[in-house]
Amino acid sequence: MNGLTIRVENKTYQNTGTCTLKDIQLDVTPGEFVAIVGPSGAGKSTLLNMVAGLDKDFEGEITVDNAPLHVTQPLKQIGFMFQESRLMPWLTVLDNLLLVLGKEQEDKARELLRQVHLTDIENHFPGQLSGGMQRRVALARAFSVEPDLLLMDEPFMSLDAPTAEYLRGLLMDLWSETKPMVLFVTHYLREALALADRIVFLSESPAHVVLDMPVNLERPRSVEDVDVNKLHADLLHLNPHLLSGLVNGKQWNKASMTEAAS
Amino acid sequence: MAQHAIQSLPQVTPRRSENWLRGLSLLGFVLFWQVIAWSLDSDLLPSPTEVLVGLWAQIINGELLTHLGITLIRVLVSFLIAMLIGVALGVFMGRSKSWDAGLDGILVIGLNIPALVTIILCYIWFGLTEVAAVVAVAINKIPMVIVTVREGTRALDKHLMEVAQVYQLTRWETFRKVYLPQLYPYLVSAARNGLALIWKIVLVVELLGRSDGVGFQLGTFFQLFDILGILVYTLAFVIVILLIEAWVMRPAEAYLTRWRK
Repeated sequence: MNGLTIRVENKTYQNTGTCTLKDIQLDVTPGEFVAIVGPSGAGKSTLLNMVAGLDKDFEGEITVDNAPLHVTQPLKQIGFMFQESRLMPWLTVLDNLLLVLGKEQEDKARELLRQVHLTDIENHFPGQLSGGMQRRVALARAFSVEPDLLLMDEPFMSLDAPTAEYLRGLLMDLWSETKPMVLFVTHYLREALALADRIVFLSESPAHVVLDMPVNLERPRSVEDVDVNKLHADLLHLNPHLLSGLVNGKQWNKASMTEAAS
Repeated sequence: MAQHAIQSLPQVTPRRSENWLRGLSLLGFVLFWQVIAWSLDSDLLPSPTEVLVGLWAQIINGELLTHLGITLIRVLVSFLIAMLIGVALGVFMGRSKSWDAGLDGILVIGLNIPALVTIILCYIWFGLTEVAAVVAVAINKIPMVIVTVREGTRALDKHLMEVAQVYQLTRWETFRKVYLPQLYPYLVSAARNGLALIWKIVLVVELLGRSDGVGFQLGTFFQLFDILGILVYTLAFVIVILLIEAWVMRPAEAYLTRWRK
């Protein structure tokens, strides 16, 4: 498998006529963790929905080894973790996993709940859990299907810092076991630096890729690591408006970034 | 949004103290009735004790239970028909704008036609038959089910449907575990209101064009000026309704919405 290829020429919302994404080119190699960072409203979620097949109204193609992702279905499974946990409130934690796994896979569901440390609450309903626990269930659900591609749309937003850090740890543990391709959308640069192999920066809407940068830091990392701090500072020093989707002129290229990262 | 809509439905389960109050007011009503009946001492108003004795006698000779059973079967059949058709149309109209536009006018007419009119027309067109009776009741009920279910369908959470799509659930699983549970509160509401309406209409239908059932019996008692008979049948009927409410409807609702606690 050569990985995922995203080519989006144009994504325009029909009802408003606004162009959200323009000339996006993005490749993800097998086992790669790619973070997508950009200003809010840049169309990051839209991009994920397109990759997930939830939004098919765009010009371009999303393929795996030249096979269109949502026509020939070259990938066995896609996992998606949304901004909200999106669990079925009328199903218990265990049943939420079994819904996507299939009834006969109870052992596997339990094993995943063990890995996110939720064994004792498998018969609770999501409404009885804290926000952080709900995300853990959602995380377990996303990994339970053994995805080849995992899409994550600001999954740890609106959690307090320690809970988010804990969840990032769980995510890395689960990810390092099976190493699916990951597209992780966030507007929190430190989070991207702490997790990803590569960060893709998007501009304001209509979004295009302004910078594609590898992160060559040792794992495990945390958002407060010295290395992460340094890289974060360097990045923003060289490019104060990066998070607004602006890159200073042409001096930015992969080579200079690799330098900054190492 | 769906969450909000579900919570804004009225909460029907009573609290403990309210139950006390309810029992107390019922007791007061029976006492009041007993006192009036004593002081009037007339055949036109039998006392509660006479009604209870009459009820026992009617149960023993079996006649009441037969008619009650027949009426209950009519209620059940027309209820099921009304729910099936109402839910199907409600879902279609909630999901598709063209279905909604196409049927909305008819729905408004259906909501506003007096029950008596549908009953008379059904009997004239289909004859004084069982089918006409059940159809007449169902037609009266269907529009209300449609309105409730349509509202529920409009409030469906698109986000959860996306989860079903991404994780490639089968259509059946999506329907049963993602779609239907969101409609439960609306279905329960439609079923409750539905039963309350159907009881009453079934009696009228029986009165007008059937030769058995509680409604028919009430008509006979009316012609004979048998007030005791009327009250005995009313009491029996009310008891059955309360039992169904307590043993079927409430437990079903509690089970279907247990995750909200």
